[in-house]
Amino acid sequence: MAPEIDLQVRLGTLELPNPVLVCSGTFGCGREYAEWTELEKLGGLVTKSVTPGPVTGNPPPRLWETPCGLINSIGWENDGLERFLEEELPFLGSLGIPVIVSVAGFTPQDYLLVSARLSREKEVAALELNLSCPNVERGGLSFCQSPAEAARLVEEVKERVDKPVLVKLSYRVSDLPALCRLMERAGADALSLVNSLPAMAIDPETALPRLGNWVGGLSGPAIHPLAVLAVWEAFTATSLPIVGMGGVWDWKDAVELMMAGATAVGIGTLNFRNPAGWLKVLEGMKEYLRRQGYSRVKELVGLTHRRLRLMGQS
Amino acid sequence: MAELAARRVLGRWCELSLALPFPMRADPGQFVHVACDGNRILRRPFSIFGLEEGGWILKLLVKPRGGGSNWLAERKVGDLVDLMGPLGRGFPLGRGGRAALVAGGIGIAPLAYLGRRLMEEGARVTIFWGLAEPEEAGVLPGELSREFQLHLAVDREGRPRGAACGDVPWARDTVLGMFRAHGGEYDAVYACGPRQMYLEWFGKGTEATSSVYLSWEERMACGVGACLGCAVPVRSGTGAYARACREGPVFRSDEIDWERVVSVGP
Repeated sequence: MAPEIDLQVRLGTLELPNPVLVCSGTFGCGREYAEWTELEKLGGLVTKSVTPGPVTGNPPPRLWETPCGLINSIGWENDGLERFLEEELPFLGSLGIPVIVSVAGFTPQDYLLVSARLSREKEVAALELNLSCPNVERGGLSFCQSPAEAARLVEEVKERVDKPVLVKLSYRVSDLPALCRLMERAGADALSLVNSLPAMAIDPETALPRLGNWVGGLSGPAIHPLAVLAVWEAFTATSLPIVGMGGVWDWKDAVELMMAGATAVGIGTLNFRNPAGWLKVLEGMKEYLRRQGYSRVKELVGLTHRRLRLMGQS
Repeated sequence: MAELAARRVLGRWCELSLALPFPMRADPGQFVHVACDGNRILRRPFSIFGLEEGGWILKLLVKPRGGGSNWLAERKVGDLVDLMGPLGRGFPLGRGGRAALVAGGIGIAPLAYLGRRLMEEGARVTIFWGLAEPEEAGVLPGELSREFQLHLAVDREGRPRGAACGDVPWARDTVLGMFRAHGGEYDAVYACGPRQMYLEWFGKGTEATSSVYLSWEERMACGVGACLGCAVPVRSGTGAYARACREGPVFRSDEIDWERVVSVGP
């Protein structure tokens, strides 16, 4: 019998049973997918972003499919913190997997309020600060574009919570390595890279934007190579563990992100195509590790950096 | 996975009979989410056109009008089709009495299935059906006219082929015009059609009532209520949205906030 492969990875103090997570906003709070996939096998689940109060979200249409991607402009629609605690968290807690709650807001105070409250819940394994949503007017991406403000926010959150804090960043920034270093100094425990990228589509027949919000976030295979480079740069710039995400469509994409420096990978848009796609990614990774003779998935993290160094090319 | 067991060309449309790996039970108005064409990102929702042989055969009616539906319409007998379903909330049954079904184009798919279920319950069913081109649905109008009281409206010159359509009454009119002209008292009205048909009908808000149900079409990603992509403006006082895939696709016409409905359909 083939020896078992050690799939465990760590994001700071957060232990994951395997490196495959599902990304915020693509998986609701898990319940919606319960009858379509084996949730208990996930490495972790990142929830839809939670804000202090209810947010109605952006006007439709909210989706536009491109040849290799998807532009969405949901706009943080959610029922707010209290209903999340009452209606979603008990189910999430029952799954027995690491639950990472995505935190969003329109002001720094929003983030602090939600983070501090969630930090008290035993079902919450970690928080992910969504500092990079491309389709809300305030908050979101604006934090990524004022790095000092983002760093201050991360510091203040870290003072108030005793859970690991992941920071989700955009690649639409002038200097990603510098931003990553700032996040590290501010106390972030891990980085999530990358959020969907600002994008737009116009209908030639009407000369009007395809999306009700005009602007949305591009995800899917179209952005995968960008995500690989973002992870590559962040791995070089900091020693923080990285959750790599962006258009992972099969196990090869996931392995690629890990070789660039990701400790774990997030599956996003693929969930819409195949609710069990993340499990196929995980099974494919295991098969690859077995075939290549690896005993631990951790050996893949940053492998390309090490290989180039050995070849004298770094 | 389902296997295409039979394929029948109906004018420019196609009726697919898919053999399922499990017997499906579904309400008319529910849909299946089909992974068309491996190069595409999203699945495409298709209304259930019928269930036969105790639910082991799923029928879909496909109008080729873009990459996903073109791909599905071109499947050959024996091909496998990856589908999820049944999904969403369908039309309410059990209202009995007299029912009017108002279909625009391919919107006939869930309504034909609904009509059969309503007749099984003893309801009297009248179908009003609008087609942009009289021959696009082949012999389907003729077939439906033998099952139901069917009124056909055609937008362009020409009339349904006599031999194919039998004695289907038709008018050079919109389906809405024909439905209104016929008047009549109905216990319930069920509709499925394009966004423009709904806006013309309910846009002023006066004709939206609790006895008129409609199936809403919107671009969809997950199909299970997770992504919130298929937002439908509903009356709630808070500017909220419902999900076409979960609370819908069938809504009572007075649940929709018509003032916030935009003309851009999928």
